[in-house]
Amino acid sequence: MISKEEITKIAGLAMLELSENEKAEYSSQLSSLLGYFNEIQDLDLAGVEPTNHALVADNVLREDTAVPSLGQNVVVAGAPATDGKSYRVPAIIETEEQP
Amino acid sequence: MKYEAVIGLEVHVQLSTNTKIFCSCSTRYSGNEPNTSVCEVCSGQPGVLPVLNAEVLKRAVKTGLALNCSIAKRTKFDRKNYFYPDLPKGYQVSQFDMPICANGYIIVNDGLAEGKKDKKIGITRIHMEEDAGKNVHGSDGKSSFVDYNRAGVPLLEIVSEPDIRTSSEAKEYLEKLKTILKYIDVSDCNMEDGSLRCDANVSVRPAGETKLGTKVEIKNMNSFRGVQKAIDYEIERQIKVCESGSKITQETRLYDEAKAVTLTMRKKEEAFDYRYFPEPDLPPYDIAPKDIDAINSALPELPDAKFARYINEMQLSVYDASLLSNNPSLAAFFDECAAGYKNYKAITNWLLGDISKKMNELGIEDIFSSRIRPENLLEMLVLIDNGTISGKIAKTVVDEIFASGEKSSKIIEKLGLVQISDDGFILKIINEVVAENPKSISDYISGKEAAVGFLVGQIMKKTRGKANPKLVNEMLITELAKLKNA
Repeated sequence: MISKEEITKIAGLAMLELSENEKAEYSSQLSSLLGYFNEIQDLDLAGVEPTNHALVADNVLREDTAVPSLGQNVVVAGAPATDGKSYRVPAIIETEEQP
Repeated sequence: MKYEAVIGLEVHVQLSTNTKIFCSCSTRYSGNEPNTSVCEVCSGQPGVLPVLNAEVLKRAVKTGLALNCSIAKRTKFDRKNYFYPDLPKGYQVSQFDMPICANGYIIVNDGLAEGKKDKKIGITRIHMEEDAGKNVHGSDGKSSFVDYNRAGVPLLEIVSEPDIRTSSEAKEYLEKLKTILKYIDVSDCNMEDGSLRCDANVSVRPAGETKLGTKVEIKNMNSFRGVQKAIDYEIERQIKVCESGSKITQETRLYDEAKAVTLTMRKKEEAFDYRYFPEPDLPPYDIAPKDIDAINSALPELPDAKFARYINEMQLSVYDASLLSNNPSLAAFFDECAAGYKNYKAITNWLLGDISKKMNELGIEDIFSSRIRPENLLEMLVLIDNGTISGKIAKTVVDEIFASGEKSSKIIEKLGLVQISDDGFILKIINEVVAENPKSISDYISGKEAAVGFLVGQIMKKTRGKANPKLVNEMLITELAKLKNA
């Protein structure tokens, strides 16, 4: 069972605000999800290579040749807030320092 | 108590490919408007598929080989999850547990300092990742503006082992790394414009202790000098903390260039938890041994090998060999000259002397972006050797090559700089000078040899430096001997 503390931490990392009810709901849903993985854990997988992707094609590459980009107006058209050139976001004050 | 610092460096270099790492947007956006080199992939729109740039993989392998790394047989990408406005997808595509290169090293110490030994600085790993966009802080203090032109530019992160012990070793490591990367032509490596960035992990421990102290990460250094000063400050700060009986806090500090101090970054409420997981949109990559061999055999001669060759095969001094081999374009220029002219010392003297001085005056970093070419220098050296011009006149020729880019022979003709080796003419000048300087002549006759130098000077002055100095000397001494014996 995933605890409410764990759900709160995961929600924080994903920047999700959850109500108490939602925390309880997701805690049971995530627990049953993880239960499936526990069943897999029980299998004997000695000698089986770990899978880290589900694609069939390996080594997909492209040539280093530029193609035109979308254009500034198209790019910022999808922005929730903009000055017409850039995405506008709340001021970032990450660099605030203390001695 | 005596303390010892333990330093590791994390260097990010932007690869100078034409396009971004996972899409075909151009990386040449410098000076362009924000968000003009952006597409669905690098702005992280839903439902898009990134595709790795073949040139990025090739340059990563090339870099690994040049830094003595082993190259992974198979490599994959992972998502590093965190939220920040310059990161459009909410994760950075990077490499976690299967980086492209591992276990390399760089040898530091250019051999200039007497008694210093070469030191191997280990390279833990090199991985490929995408750069983030750029935040520009608004003037109203309420908004920031995000430009995604840089988002998706290919980066290599080069992580050193904590083998570095002093700030000057850190600087040597960075300089050597930059030189090697310039030799293999994978990056512009310019710290000022951000194509090379460096973070430092610094801890201190009592000398002799083998356990590592608590490390502090320093960011925001904008020059090699800044890295050195930030590390010096941080070592001193940590020693003070230790001596006061307090404990070092594990944290990230920012270097303030203007004040030359490191400051605590505002504390994060929760420690970073990147929750790495495999990038499902990119397949793994297998690196074939034959591809590694092909890249390896196409590597240029690297600075350590060049340095050794200059010393062992060309008998250059340690000082000259070091200056040349640490400057990729000057070394290339030297090698081209040396292919057609055997007096290596003469080439070196001109390159590291007058030519370097001229480049400094003009603010030219890369000799190939000036007007001088190996063939100009070679022609000039031959003209000095065959007596057409003197070494002194050649300095004027160098100035003129830098100004006009013309051939040495043409410059000499144009400016009338041909050395005078005409016996009759020189004798005429000698006679004039002898007649005009009776005092010097009597000095000489009474045994003052120094008078010869003065007389030679007068002759050179009359010929505006063009008389063949060797001939002038010989003929003057003959003439003076005649006067003495008369």
